[in-house]
Order: sequence, then C-alpha cells, then structure tokens
Amino acid sequence: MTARASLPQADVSDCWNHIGVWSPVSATCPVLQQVTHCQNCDVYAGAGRSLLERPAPDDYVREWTTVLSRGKQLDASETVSLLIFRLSAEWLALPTAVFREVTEVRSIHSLPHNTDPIVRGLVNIRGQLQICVSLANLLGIAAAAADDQALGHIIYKRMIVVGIDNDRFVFSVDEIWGIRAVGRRDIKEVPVTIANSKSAFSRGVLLFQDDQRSGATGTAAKRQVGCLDGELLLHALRKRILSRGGGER
Amino acid sequence: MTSVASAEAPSSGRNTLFLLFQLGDDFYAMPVNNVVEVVPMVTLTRFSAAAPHFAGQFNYRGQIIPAVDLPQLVNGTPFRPSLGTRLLIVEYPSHQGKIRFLALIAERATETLSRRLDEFQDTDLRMAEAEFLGGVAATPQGIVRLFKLDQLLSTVLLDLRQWSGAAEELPAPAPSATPQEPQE
Repeated sequence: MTARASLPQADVSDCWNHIGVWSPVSATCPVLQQVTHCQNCDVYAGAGRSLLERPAPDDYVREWTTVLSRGKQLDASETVSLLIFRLSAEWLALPTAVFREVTEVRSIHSLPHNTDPIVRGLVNIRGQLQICVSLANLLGIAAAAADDQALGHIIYKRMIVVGIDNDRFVFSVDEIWGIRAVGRRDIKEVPVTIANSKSAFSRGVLLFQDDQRSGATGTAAKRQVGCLDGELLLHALRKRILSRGGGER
Repeated sequence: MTSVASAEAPSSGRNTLFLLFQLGDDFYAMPVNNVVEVVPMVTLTRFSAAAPHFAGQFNYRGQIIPAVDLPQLVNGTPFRPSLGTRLLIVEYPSHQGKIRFLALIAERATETLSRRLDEFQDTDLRMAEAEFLGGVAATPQGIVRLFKLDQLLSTVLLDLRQWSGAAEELPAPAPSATPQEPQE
C-alpha cells in the first residue's frame, strides 16, 4: 500500500480542564450555563471524537488483520443471570431481574379468613405492607429438614421481595447461595414425566457446581438447580392473589 | 433475485438509524440495516492491475473479500488512513445464492444519525453524478447525502467481474448489468 497522506491531526485544546468543570480554579466557560456540565457540550464531544483522527498504530492494524481473519467467536453473551436459593431440600433459581430486595425474616401478619395456602399474610417491608406467599406451597415442595448441606458455615434464612413493574410479592427461603451468570445452554430441558406444579414454572435444570463451599467430601458440591420462569411465576401469583376480590391494593 | 442489502423504505413517520461517514469533506449516511459489521482498517493485499477504487483484499472471517475505496470512487482521492477510517462490511447474494461480503472503506465512520428516510430530499440541481448518491438532509454536522448501497453494488460488482478471473468467485450480476452471454 503506497503511503497516503494521513488525516490532519486534531489540535485538542482541553478547555474543560481550564475553564470547564474540571478547572482547578473556577469554571468560567459561558457555555456551562446552558449545558451545565462539560459532558453535554459539543466541544467536549467533538474533542473526544477527534482523538480518532490519529493514524492507526502499526501493531493495532496487524492485530486486527489477524483477529478479523478468524471466525466470530460465539461468546458467552448468551448468559442469564440467576439468583440461586434453597427451599427445604430443593435448590431453585430465578432470573435476577425479578428480584427487588432481600431482607431478613420478618413476622408475617396473617390475614383473617384466609383459606388460600399460597397466601401467608402481610409483611412490613420498610414501612410498606407486602403480600407474603408460600413459594413452597405454590411449587409443591414439602418442608424437610435439609441438613445434608455443607456443614461448617452459618445458613441464614431470608425473605425475598420479587416483582416486576408495580407488583410485589414476598416469600421466605431457607438459604441464598447468590447470583450466578450461567450460559443459556447450561440449562437443560427436563422431560415432563410428572405433571406437578413445579414443572409448570420450570425452565430447565442447571447442573450447578458450588465452588464456594465444599460438600461432605470436601470437593465442590454439585447440585441440581431448578430454574424457574420468573414471569410465569409472577403472572400466576398476580392472577391468583390480586384478582380475587378486587385486590388488596 | 432479492437484494439482501436493500433498505426497506420505512413508513414515513418512523426514524431510521443511519451510519454516518465522511468521504473527503462531505458527509454521507447509509441505513445501518445495510451494514453487516463495521471493523477497523486492516492491512490490504493489493490487487494486480485493478481499478484504482479497489484498494485491495483481505481475509474477512475466512473469506477473501475486496475492499472498495469509497473516497477514491466518489471524489477521486484515495482514502486517508486514521483510527476513524473503517471498513463497512456489506453483503450481497452470489449467483449460487450464497452470501458474499464486500468491504467499503469510509473515513470517520464513527457516528450514527437518526432521521426519517423522507428527510433526504433530492436537490433540484441534479448534476451528472453517481447513481448511488441520493438526496440530502440538513443536520447539525452539515449537509448529509444519502448513500444508496444497492446502486453502489451494481456499479462495483460489474467492475469486479471484469478484472476477476475465477469464474466461481464471481458475484452474480446485478439486475441492471448486462450478462456476458450475448442475448441477441
């Protein structure tokens, strides 16, 4: 390639450091009255863009020539972020997006004349009364003393507030593992052999390697985590609880 | 033969996102739907005895594709290398129906513009200029001219046929181009 004339190099004068918001003395630039901050000013934006007016370094070009010749790597952008928790002996996961808050277990004020096993009552979360549901009952998970889990660390029960838009539901869990980003392909489909309430909300099963705590054998415990569909779950709760008798709101 | 790279005319109320670039001192806009990828400039292997507006070829994800020097084609001046000079990868269907790629060298291809397609108005003074340059719109950056990819492909692919020897590598002739076999 014959040598070509490069684009003229931009003369960048950093007015934002002298008369702008980052001035060590005082921000005297008159444009600041309109834009408030240098970031909103066209001069700043233009100066930033003009930094691209430099000739590309040789090794940058060489590197890109090599990178571009390879196929596009299917990167791990196909990941979902899940919050993994435990109800009795079952490990479950919900998309992180449905979670609003995690808090300590609080007292539940039971509703009079409530016959629905799903609704446990009302909980005071930061001054607001939220509906507490029993996720275990909704999913058909029997209460069990799960003491086969890892020993030697303290397990905290928690209450979780979930919801999208303006809905809020609270349920208690026996343990929260944490948040993990998993590849979408790692959630395996489960053959629906038994029609139970859990499978209605299930998106699949994740074989989860717990590298934070070791199991009884000392190595990372492998668990089967049931991944639930957050939207389906909330929709079912909404329909079941909020549509009765005009709702509590 | 449907053109893979055609930009569907959106309903007049909706904004289209355009990729903004410069050729020389003039601004051009091309709908982003036409562009497969925007990549930095890489080292090009020069063609032999090719027209000046073919700057060379390079390996794009396993396929050797040509790069068209747009500033050379439109203004007659070769492109100026800089960090903002980029390759716009576009695609077209070959005569076997496979998707083939073509790279367009554009300067300062660093921004996008959101406008309605009908804001690009044809000027009354329509001089003898390239078919792939369309109407103009006024923007804060100045006058921006619409870049019509389909018409550019028709022009460029015909040239590619002329200098390229390998028959199976040839792209399918655009509908407006004359076929090699004599029809009469």
